[in-house]
Amino acid sequence: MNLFWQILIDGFIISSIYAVGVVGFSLVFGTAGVLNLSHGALLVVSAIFFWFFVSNFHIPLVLGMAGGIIISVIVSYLLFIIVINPIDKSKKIPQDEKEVFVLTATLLWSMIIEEILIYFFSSNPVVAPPFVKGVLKIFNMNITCNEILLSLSSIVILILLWLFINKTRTGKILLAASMSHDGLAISGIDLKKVYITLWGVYGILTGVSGALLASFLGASPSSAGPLTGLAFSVVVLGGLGNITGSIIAAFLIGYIQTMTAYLISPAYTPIPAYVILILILMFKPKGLFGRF
Amino acid sequence: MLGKSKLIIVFIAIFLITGVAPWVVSPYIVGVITMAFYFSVFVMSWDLLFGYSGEVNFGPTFQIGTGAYVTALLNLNTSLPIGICIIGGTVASIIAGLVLVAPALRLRGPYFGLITLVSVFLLGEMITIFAQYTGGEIGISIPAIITTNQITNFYLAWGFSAISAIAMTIIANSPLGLILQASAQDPQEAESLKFNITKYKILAFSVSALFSGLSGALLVIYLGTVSVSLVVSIAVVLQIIISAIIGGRRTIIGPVLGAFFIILLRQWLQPLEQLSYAVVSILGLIVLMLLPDGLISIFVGKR
Amino acid sequence: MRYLKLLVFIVGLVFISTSAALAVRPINVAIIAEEGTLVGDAIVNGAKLAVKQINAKGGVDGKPIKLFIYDDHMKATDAVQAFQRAVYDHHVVAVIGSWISEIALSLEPWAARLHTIYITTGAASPKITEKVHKNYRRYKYIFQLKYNAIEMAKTVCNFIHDDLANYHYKTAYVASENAAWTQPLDEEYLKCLPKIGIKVVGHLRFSPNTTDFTPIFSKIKAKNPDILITGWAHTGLQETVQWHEEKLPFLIVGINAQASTSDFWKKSNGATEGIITQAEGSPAPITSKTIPFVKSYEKMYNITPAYGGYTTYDAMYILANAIKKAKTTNTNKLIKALEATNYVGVMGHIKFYPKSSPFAHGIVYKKGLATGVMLQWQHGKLETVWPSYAATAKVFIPPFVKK
Repeated sequence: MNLFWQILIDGFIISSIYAVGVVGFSLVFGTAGVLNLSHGALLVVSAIFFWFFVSNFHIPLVLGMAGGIIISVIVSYLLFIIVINPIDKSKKIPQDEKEVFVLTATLLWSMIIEEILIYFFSSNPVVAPPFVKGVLKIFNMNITCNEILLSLSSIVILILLWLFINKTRTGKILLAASMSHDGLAISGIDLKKVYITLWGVYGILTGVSGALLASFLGASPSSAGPLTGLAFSVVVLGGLGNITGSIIAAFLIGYIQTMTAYLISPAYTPIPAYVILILILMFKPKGLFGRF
Repeated sequence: MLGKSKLIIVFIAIFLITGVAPWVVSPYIVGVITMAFYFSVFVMSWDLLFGYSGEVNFGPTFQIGTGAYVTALLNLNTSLPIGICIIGGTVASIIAGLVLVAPALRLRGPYFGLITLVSVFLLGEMITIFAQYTGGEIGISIPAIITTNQITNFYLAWGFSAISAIAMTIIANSPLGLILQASAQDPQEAESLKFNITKYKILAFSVSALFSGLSGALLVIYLGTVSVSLVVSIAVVLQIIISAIIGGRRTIIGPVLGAFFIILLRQWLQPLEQLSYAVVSILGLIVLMLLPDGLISIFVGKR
Repeated sequence: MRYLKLLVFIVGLVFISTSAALAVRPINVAIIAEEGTLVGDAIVNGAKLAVKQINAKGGVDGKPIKLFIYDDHMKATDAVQAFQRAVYDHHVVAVIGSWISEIALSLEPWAARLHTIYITTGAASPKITEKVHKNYRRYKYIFQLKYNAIEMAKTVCNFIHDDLANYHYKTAYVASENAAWTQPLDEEYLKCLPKIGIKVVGHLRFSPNTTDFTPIFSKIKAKNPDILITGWAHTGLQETVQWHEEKLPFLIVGINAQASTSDFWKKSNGATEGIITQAEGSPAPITSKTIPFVKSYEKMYNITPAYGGYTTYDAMYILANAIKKAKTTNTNKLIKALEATNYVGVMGHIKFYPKSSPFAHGIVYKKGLATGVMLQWQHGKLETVWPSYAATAKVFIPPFVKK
């Protein structure tokens, strides 16, 4: 019985962290149609800067986090200005090939960020200090209060994002953009403004997620690839363009991994998740809840 | 297409110019170019699939890695002649290619991309789990060598990559290539024209796997070791995709330029030590943004 | 710091090249390392420091040593290309470096084909020397100036036997990454722990891609061991932090590669307090040369050396001595001279195993010669706790750990 509760709680914590880590990837694909393969690199940027500010300037965690978020927003806008927008506007690239260009360009972008981070911070991982100290003992397992706080914050962030998209005017415009770009242009909304909002929101979201990851998993420049891989897997499994789908998929993968670790062996943690992912896609070619 | 004859000229020029390399440049550059030839076959095979089925395949190293590892394991654990090991590896690679046909028929776009990506992850995990046979992350050394002579090795790679380039160009311009292209653009119509898409996709995947698997097998025999970072890791996949796109997609010969661009640039920038990779990526991004038709468009103009 | 390094490098380069122009033809040596990793940077730094000192004293019989440094970006292909460049273009006498076994192993066939000496100063796989033993004629060019995984496990057992006896610890749990390098390590752990009276109550191996360590720790806790024995290199930070945060009541002893580097305190926010790990060298009186070496290293680079610094610094001196003794850079004669090495370096008294040993051309592991050290993080400092003659501090048991 203890095992059941252990899997339930532990799986919930890791899944909620996964969900908050990938939701930004889902957002930019859903609204701008951008498959941003530098997502993991952006998470790592905010994570490392969060750690850097806190451990070098000994400032409160919240301030350090704010610093990480600012850097993340800057990098997010740079990506938009240098890479995404020019490709989108380019007349030389045929419309149906823009996807593969965005994909290649964001890959290169990710490699550039990774190499620069290694140059300045070395490739060793860092971990941010816990937000709260202390340990909770439930069902014969020790859970740090920090983990619980991180997990709950993730859920709050996901709820806030949902409210933002579904309840605010700006959010509704973003949602409309995800349905049809032309329709939006006809209704007189400036697409440029939509994009500026989108990449700002994306930067903030990834900044916060990166900080949470830094506190829970730790981060190193070389975790950019695996994080992008995770985001790609989870978001595609959930169905592209569907944020709720992504969150459900994050919990599915998180729980499968946790169950593998507890019930089979920690040596094989990633494998069943991959196999199940393949099986689902073979039966549901558009992911669990895909629109595209 | 106006560019076609120019493409052939570029093709001949590349292989003639590089063909004299062993007599002009240092043996070290000869070694670099030898590896670039094997790598360019990976990129051409990827381009064949991408260009003529329209799907971004994140799994080229699934075939390459299978081919390379099976060759290495056969050589290490049996006393079969080296040729048989290579054939065994290539057959395994084709089988690995066929495994991806089923998803390729059912899935589109990023969904197909994910399946191929996961296939690479799974292969990597399997290599780690069966470390006592595969050497895990450390890799294994292979006793087999075709020759240790640098110049012979060079011409082997040169000839192999030239033959692969010719074969793949012919296939891409044959009715098979055209049908594939049509089916990628409009599957329903191709189906209604009574083309058996399944048959052609199987063919395309087999051809791509044949060349990339063979190239992987020859590469590891040339190097004398096989390991994950050499023939399986995602970093290799990314290098393949980037080379193909900045070289000039859908041209078969463009990707060769892309492969040489990245590999030679990295060596040339070696004095920058740690920063060389970042600079290569920045230059790659600049080429991608300024020359959307790839490096090849410098020679053949816009398409 | 970076600029300073660059400046030192440029000045060094100018110095070396001008002195080369004035003097005779230098002896070229290649360093292949993973820059941007702590151990890789230490390999480069250790080599530069040794060369600076050797050249300041007139080089090797009047000939200065010239270094060629290549970054392999942790990729075997880059390393192989660097090896070819070193041999063909820069005509080096020997290639030194790399701490990744995959890369060291991929350089071996090239050392054999190009008849060039290769000394790895960081890769731990026993497979590297196994080849020298099995096919000496072909692979005699390869040396391993680093304790292999089996010897690293022995160091851990010796330490537990010597230093933890007072605490009457009885049980241990072995938990390593599921990787090829930990296989010989775990095998040796399972053999040597019972010999020193420690019962192994559990053994598990986890995926190097693990993100959530809670399941692993709950398996370990269920067995309530006194000590957790580790084989961690790809991972380490997260486990260390989780152990610290949850105040788990067992001592962590073993290989925790990331924890053996000096900035780990900062990168783990102090969670590493109490962690014990093996290393090849430390700022401690291992030999009379060790502390002076660490001092000049710190003066030059503002950081204490990671293990690659100790091994590569010694490798450079051993190579220079061998050239002096052989009075030539002829490869075969140099190999004979290297095999006869009997040198007190910064990591111990160094000799190489003969070709009859399964660890042929590895360094002889023996109390009194060279054994490596055990380090423990104590109050923000990396103290040496074993062997006793080199110890800078006594073992300290964190307050939440059973005594």
